[in-house]
Amino acid sequence: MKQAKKSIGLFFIIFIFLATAIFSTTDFAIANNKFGLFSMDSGICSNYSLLLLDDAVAFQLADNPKKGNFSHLLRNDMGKSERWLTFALVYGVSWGIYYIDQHETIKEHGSFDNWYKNIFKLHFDKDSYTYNLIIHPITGHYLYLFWRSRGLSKIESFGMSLLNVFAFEFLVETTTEIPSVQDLYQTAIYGMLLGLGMEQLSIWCHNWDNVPGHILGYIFNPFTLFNFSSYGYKVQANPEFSKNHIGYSFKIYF
Amino acid sequence: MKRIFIVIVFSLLQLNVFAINYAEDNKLISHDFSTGWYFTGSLGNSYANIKSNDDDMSSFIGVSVSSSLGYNFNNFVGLEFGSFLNYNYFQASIIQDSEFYIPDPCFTIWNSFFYIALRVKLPVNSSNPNFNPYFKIYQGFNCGIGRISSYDKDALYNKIIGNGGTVNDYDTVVKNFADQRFFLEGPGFGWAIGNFFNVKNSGPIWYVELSVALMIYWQNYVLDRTDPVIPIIISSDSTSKNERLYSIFLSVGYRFF
Repeated sequence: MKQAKKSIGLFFIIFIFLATAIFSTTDFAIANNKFGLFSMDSGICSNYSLLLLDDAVAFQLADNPKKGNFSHLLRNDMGKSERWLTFALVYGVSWGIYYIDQHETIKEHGSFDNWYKNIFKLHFDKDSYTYNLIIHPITGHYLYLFWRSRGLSKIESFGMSLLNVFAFEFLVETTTEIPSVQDLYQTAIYGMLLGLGMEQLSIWCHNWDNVPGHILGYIFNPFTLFNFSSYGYKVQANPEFSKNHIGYSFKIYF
Repeated sequence: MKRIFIVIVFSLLQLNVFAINYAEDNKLISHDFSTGWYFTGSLGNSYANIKSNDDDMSSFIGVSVSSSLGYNFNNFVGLEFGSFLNYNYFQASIIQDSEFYIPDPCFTIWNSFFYIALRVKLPVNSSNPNFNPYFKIYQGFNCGIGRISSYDKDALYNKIIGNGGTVNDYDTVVKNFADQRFFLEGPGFGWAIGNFFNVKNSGPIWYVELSVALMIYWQNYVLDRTDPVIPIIISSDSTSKNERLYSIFLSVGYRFF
């Protein structure tokens, strides 16, 4: 009976994630069919100009740009060099995180020989489902949300996060481990599934347009917090460097 | 196994060629299956049955999540990578072999099945946006992680004491059951039939899919789960009882792009 209850509980948890992910489909249809092209002036939520969007929505946004229009904004100006530089940055960060998390394992089992020999030994791992079904998808969803925050479309974001997952699995983790099919699939695919839901959940919360809503929105999608993010209501978080101090200026719109 | 795999891959390719020819000959190509990438995710129920040479265990209805990333070569045929993830709870009367004696065991299995599939639009001429049936055959590899969730401890105690064991022996066995999990792996294949809804209207495209899969457990491992990160293999062997998992999935999902 307990197991049956667990199953039902699990069913509902997964259902909630999927239900939130469902909202994203319409959004993609708009982007895919090029009905909506956003451009945004510099500043925080100051001025949206909306091209080729449904008139009613355009008027609503023009009249009250702060109300109910927090959304992902597609960027059309991301060049190849910026894209691959960002990819390299994520790859570098993944090395850093891997070292911090696994430095003892790297000392014990890691080697340069492993790094290139393990590349060709793809296998199905026997890790616990805590790792395979929870930690990997959560990692993958952050990757997906990061690329979304750079202004890419859903399919582009998925493609870039998939590349990052492959780069980590084949060119970072091989230092100590053999690449795993589950890690590749579940980090990228389940990560994206989770990311689709979390992004919509975050946008939905931001559009409550009150303090709790924004806080929840930042929690569900932390990338909405940053200055570089390609979302509606922005928060500026800029590093500041000078001769006398190093700091971070932080502006949050509530 | 390699030969079987090669035969199946070539069969898939042949079927693909056949399907494209058939579609072109019969003017079945429409805009329902737009060319390009697609991504689907679904949630559903699963029912599983483990059969072996000397046992037959049915599961309770569990939950399943499936996802697939595919590419439509044309408006008729697509190749996809996907997975079924299902969680099922099994109950058996007894498990008894040279290593284990477990009376009235209940155990749970998380099964992950990764596959490559060919998705073909069924040859129907319909302008109805809610009638777009498809057929899918797939072949892949599955791995199941399970653990014993409960068993009849009194019967186990009586059995160990009856065989001249001590209370310490009983405690050791109980601790082992708590610390260990088992891992089963092997090839799998199956087919699915489904229908896309709302394909020509605005709004989300969704689908219902019924899938039947056979997964063969050709290797099993007993693992120490006390280390949460790296499992320690205590023993492994090829299954000699011809164990196989029959699964039925009924899913409802969305095409996200």
